Amino acid sequence: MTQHACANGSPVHPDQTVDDIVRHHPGALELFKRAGINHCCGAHLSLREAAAAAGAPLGALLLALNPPAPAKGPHDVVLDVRGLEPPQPMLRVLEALDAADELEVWLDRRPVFLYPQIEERGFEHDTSEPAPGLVRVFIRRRRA
Amino acid sequence: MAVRAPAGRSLSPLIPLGYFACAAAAFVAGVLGTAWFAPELTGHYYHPQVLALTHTITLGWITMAIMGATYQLVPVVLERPIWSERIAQWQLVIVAVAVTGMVAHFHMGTWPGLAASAAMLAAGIGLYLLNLAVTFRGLGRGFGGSGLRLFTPWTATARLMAMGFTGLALTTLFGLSLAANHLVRFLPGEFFPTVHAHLHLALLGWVTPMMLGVSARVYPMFLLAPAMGPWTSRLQVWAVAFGVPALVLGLLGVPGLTLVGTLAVAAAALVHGSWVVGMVRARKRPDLDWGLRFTITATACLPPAIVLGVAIAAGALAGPRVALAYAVVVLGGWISLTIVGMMLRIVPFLVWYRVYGPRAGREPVPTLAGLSSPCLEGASYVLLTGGIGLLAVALLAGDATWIRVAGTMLSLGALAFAAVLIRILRHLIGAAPRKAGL
Repeated sequence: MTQHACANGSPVHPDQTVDDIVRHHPGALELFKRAGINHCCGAHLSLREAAAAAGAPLGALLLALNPPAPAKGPHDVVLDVRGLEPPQPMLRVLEALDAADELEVWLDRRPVFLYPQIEERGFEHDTSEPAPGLVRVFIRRRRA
Repeated sequence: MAVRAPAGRSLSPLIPLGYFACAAAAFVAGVLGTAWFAPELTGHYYHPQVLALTHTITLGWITMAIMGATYQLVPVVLERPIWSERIAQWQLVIVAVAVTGMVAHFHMGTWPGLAASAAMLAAGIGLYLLNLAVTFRGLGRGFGGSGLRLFTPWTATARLMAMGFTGLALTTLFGLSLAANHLVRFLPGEFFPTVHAHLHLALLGWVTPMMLGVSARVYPMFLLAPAMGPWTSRLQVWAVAFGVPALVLGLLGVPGLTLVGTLAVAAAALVHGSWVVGMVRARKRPDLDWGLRFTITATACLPPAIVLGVAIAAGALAGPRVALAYAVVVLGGWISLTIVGMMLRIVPFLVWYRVYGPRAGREPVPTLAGLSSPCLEGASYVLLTGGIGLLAVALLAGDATWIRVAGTMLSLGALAFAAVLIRILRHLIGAAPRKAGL
């Protein structure tokens, strides 16, 4: 699994407040502006809440705030799409797969509608549920 | 531990969409009928036109919408495909024709034709139950008979759905017996209590468990709120499992059970309502779209429905006007507004999945909101919620003019809702042929 690491060394968590993130990660302000997240009125919200309010993809924000370090495990990219409403998780995964051969996805529930889409695109998948409310899907390009 | 997901084939979205389209057509026809037959609605409910209207709403609108929702949701809940797509297609045709026949024969008051249509409907429902029974078979045994139980298959939704299917089977047999009884009298007991038992078996034994089960699954997903707790779901399951048989038996001739059963069902409704309120407060999604506003408003109809239902069961209120007002609050307020709200969420997703899912990640695709029309949805919300409230009051007062005004409001609201659906469904025109079971 890819190790998440931030510019200042501490990874951003979805439950951190917007204000806290901006204070510790100055580059986040510009990212939030582009994503439509209001830093003034929504500073007290967690990143997860603020992303939901703005309709911005939480997984993509986390990826941008926590740029992946060189891969140390079998999966190139980790995508956390928990807290997004359908079809955003599917959309984010399919967008990520356009540029990746392997992907680890974290979801709230098993993505029953996603499986046919990724199979049709030549990927295979394994699903596990390591904890209540966390579903982990490993996706990799099918070998010929 | 990881497993290969057994989900390489899912049902075509066109199947549930077909059911939803038929249901919406019945909804429009039903509310147009409310305005048209306003004078008849000031009298007794056992009247040919009122019975035709009631069955347009209960069978054409509510039952077909639930069938469509089932075909969309069961593969998600059980994580296995529907057994037969072909049966689902044939069943749609049979049920649509049978309901049309039943409504027409209720309207004309011709019992042999009604019995024949009821038999056809029973065949369609039989196919539905067969399809789902085979789909549910072996649910507790894990995937592919491996005995592997990584996920909890008998969730609250699965249990409530199974209860609903049982209720539907019993309601169908009951209704078929009532239709046959018009030709050859064989049912014991008084006529009206038997009709009331049939209505409550349908409403509480079939529709209510399905509504509770579906909402337990989809509300947290749409509101971005925590899933239902185990005790909340258990209380609902037990209250419905005890309350519905008690109420129906009470109506059929064990009077002491009527109020007990009513209170148990009311408890289930209260638990459900409290859960929705708690979830709305705890939601992480701050903005509410019109679909969610419909469902929350529908839940707000539960308290007056409970008060009216308990008052009728306790004998504090009686008469056809009260019964009709009660039916409007339950069928129109709670059930219909919930279905409208859920359709405004589910139909765009199914269309998006069919048309834009294969293109997602490869090219820009529209959002779900981009498929719909918030203005029309808002107009539909105002007209339908206002119309249902006005209709309940007008029926209670027995005023034909106000019933017609309410019916006209509802008709305009239903037409706005239908226009939204048509706008969404138009995206299907010219869509590429499906791949990989899409």
